[in-house]
Amino acid sequence: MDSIREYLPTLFDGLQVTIMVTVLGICAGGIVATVLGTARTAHARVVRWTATAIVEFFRGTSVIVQLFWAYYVLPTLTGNQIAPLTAAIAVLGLNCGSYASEAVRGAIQGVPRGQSDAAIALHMSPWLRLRSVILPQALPEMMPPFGTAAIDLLKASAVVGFVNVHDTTFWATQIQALTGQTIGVYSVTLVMYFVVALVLAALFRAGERALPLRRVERRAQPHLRARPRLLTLAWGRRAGESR
Amino acid sequence: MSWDWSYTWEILPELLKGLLLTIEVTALAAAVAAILGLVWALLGRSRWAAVRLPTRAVLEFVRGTPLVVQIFFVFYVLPEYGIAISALLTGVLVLGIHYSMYAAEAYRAGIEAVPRGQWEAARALHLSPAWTWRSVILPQSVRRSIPPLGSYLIAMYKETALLFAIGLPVLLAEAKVVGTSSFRLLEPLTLAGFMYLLISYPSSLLLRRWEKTHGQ
Repeated sequence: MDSIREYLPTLFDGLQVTIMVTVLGICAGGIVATVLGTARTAHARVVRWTATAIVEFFRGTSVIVQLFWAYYVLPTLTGNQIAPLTAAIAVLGLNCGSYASEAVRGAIQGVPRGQSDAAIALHMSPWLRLRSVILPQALPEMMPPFGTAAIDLLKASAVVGFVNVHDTTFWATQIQALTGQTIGVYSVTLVMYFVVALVLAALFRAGERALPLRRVERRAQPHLRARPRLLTLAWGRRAGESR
Repeated sequence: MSWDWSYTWEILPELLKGLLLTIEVTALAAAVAAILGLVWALLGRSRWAAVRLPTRAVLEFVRGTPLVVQIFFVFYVLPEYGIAISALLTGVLVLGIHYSMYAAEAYRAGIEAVPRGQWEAARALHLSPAWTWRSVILPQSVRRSIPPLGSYLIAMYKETALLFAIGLPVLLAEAKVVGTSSFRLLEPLTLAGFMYLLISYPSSLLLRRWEKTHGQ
């Protein structure tokens, strides 16, 4: 146990990278989810089908397969090497964003039709309608599945070490290879991920509470507030899995 | 770099071997997950807090940590205690246990969706608890659990790719090895991706159709 203290700073360096990749991945994923989820509710068939194809493509294979492809194959096609960090964030954002897009689509479709009818009656442009009428009302519904998706992204980020991003798991394997330490290193690593997952869960719940809209309604619909017990990491099934 | 078809045909048998192992591992791990998941779901509903709370804590912990670290943990830590298990067994066990924790959630939701009246009716008929579970509650709840369980099965199939990290020659590992030795990763990695997609996408379509016809 003594030597694990010696390697703790290295693991914390890795943890910083894990957190950075996760936060940037969540930002990318949020954009991907919003764009794809909105596109999947579009009227134009081409837009809808393109978005669906992208989503199905990213949901059909795992992060590690996509990451290897982006890191090893894409450069041979385009001719320029991608930085490992860029590849990692892009793949995580696209993959988890595709899952979360299902939540965006569901939430948008859950906004009562009268709202968009009213906005049309008020002569709002489609963009304004989406931005200031539909999305603000859909947002509270998206938060719980977004929280799940964020934790999934954190966990998925553990594979970025395989394309040479120096995250927590990468350093854990390095320390193990160098020192032969196993139980200490991997236990600390697991606990680190778990703590970050708890923080993420708490942040998303706080974010959900901070949203201005539909709180009254949510209070009136207890099933929307129902939360699993204890630490509440699991908000149900994976965001966007077939429903 | 352009696509080389003769090379593609050359590596296809290797990749198919990897695909076969992937399917085997998925099937075995799914069996582990389906059985253990029900155990966790029942323990998590136990009357005794001493059983219920630790079960839930373990469920949260396993679900809150990355699969790949769990794989490393089991693969490297167990031998220190004299338990040497093969990469294949490690893969099946870790994948099975990891997804059993998710399956537990699916079972739990299914059990909670069984109407109260069913419990009360079983009680009124003087059925023993074991009898009630076996022939009233579980048959109704498992039906409801099938859609989420199905999506976990598909997720598990895709995640077997991670077992390349402990040297198990699953599909992704075969693609990587073949590609690295011949300095051409375009064909093997692309082909492997398509093989994953070719099974997972139709499966998710089937699952969605099943849900539509059998949904509540």
